Amino acid sequence: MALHRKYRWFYWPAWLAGLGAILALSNPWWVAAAVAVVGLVVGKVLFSGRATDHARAAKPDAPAKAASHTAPVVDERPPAPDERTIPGMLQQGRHAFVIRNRDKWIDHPDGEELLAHAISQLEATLGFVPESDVLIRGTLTGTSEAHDHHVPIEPFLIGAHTVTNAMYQHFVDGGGYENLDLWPEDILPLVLEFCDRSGELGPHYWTGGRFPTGQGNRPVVGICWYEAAAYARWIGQRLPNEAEWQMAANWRVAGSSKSYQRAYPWGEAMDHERCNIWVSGRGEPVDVDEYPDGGAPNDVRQLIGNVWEWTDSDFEIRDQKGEQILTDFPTKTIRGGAFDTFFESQASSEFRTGQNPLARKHNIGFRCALSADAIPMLVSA
Amino acid sequence: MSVATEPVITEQTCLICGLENEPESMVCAECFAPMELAVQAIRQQAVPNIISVFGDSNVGKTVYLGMLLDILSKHPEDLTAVAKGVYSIDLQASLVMHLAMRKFPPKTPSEPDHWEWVYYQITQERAKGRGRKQPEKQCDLIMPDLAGEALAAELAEPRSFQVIVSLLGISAGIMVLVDTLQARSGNAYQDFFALKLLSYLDDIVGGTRKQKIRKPIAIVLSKADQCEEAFDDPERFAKTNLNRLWNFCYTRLENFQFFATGVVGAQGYILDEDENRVAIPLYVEPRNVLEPFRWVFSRVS
Repeated sequence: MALHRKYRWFYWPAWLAGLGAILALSNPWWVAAAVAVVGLVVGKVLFSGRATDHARAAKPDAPAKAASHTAPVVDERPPAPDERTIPGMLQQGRHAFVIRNRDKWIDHPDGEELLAHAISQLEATLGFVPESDVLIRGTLTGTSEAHDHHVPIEPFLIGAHTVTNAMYQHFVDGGGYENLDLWPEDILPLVLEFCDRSGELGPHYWTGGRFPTGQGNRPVVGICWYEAAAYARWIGQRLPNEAEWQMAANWRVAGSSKSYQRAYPWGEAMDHERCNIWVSGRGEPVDVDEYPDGGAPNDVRQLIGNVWEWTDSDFEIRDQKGEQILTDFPTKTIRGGAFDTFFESQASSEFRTGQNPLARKHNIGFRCALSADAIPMLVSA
Repeated sequence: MSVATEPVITEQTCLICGLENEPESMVCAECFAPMELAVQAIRQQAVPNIISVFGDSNVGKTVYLGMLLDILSKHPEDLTAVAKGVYSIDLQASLVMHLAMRKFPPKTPSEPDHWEWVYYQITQERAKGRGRKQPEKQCDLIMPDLAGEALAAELAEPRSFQVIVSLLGISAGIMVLVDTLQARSGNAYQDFFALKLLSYLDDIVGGTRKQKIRKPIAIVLSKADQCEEAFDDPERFAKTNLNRLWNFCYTRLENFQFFATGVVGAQGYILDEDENRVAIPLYVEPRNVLEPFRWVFSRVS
């Protein structure tokens, strides 16, 4: 039972401690002292975790002082799950993590039931992409075939939507930024700089560790490549590489003509009513389940437009003469275009570009992926 | 204002410097501005306002102006823009075709007779008032794409480019572009260049010690796509990284505002034969391109 703060004086361990204090006036003194100590210890054990949950749950209503005057707060606040339990982790969206670690808990009396529940929930969030191979363009304009290359694709699963603010909130609340196992060692000194506008750990455009009001179902943006990769690892998945991303977007069928791959998930021609790019006129990211007509055959949505998507691949490309394009920093490939992509040709399944992996921009998000052999029972199901 | 009641403007009158040119002149003999501008103004029966974009070489004036025109021609939100004269489309067409090929346009030549000039009719819908729609605001605009090298030469040796002196004097509004990445890197050159430009403007149009410059002036932090701090708070960025300019604005300008803008999402480069960097736009995503213009335009009568 969650008691409101103003009723805390009802907590019985406090009464027990008080009784101990009264008894302290009587003899023998050690009886009184023992009652008081027991009362305090029991109160601490029972209510410290609850108090933490209270503090976390109350946070949106009482944001940090620095953010109090701007204070966009979480409206779609999920109940704070207990991340030490399997149901708690499932509530955080860590289905793949739970399933992949099933050996550690499957012997629990409810193990089989929990596993079935986790698989069905995970299935609902992923789209299956069959084995194939894709043609990756090697030059800026894609007109020189000398540097193009074919990449074979093993079957895999990819997020039906990009990761939302509400999903990412679990990662922030669950201590993802403090979990050293999730970050490469060389990036650790920088993790403390991955702050929101109020200086709390979180995406660049958040405030007070919370996402802006009303944007729970929008893609999380303002996160760098390392934050995207850490989140994917936390939920037991990974970022797709760019060949996988392209396969998901152009749905190339194995055995079809080498040169044939669709420009868009829905077909060959751009249709700005099926995606959110500059000419669509929305001017900002929209909810991740909008534009159902722009989905791939497996109903994976918004691969084109809304936000660019980080991939796991390094970005390398050449100009028409074959000269390597250089950058001042190692670059990761981003794909798909965003709500502010000006040229329609730059929001296609084939268009390749890159970004500084430390960039925390307003229009770059991500989706997660999973190799089919990582959870064989999922694919067979 | 109708040209019919302003006989001083003829097809031989340079709209920039006012010189009466010989018949059949293609460009002004004094400042090299195209005479087509006067022809267009007479045809439109309007005295156009001039909004100028100034800034150092390589600060991104052509890219900014070309992208601004292309966005305006797509009728964004409350603004409608119509190009007058085929020559007015050349700048944006060149920019768009280059960017679509993932190239930047070539540098603007220093010679004024090679600059691109555009003549646009802009209509701005007014916000609806209490129960009735406010009248539209219409304005003819001339915007030149001038070379940074010419501006630098003019600042180094005043009156060497008459067209720049004239533009500074007659522009109804000014946008000063400053390279955000250079400023962030601690390079004071951008700070000094913008400071010199505004000081020069103060010499030309400023009044007494107590009279500030009244022209609307937008300080535009260009290439901010790689610098989120500039987008978060342009004025704070300027105060920190362009402090001389920021102080001058508060001392001598009456009507100014800071903006951050970006056109490309990321840049790469190749090395030419002389090992010089040639910048490559990796993708295009205009950001806050319209806002400085809208701010200046709203203050131009």
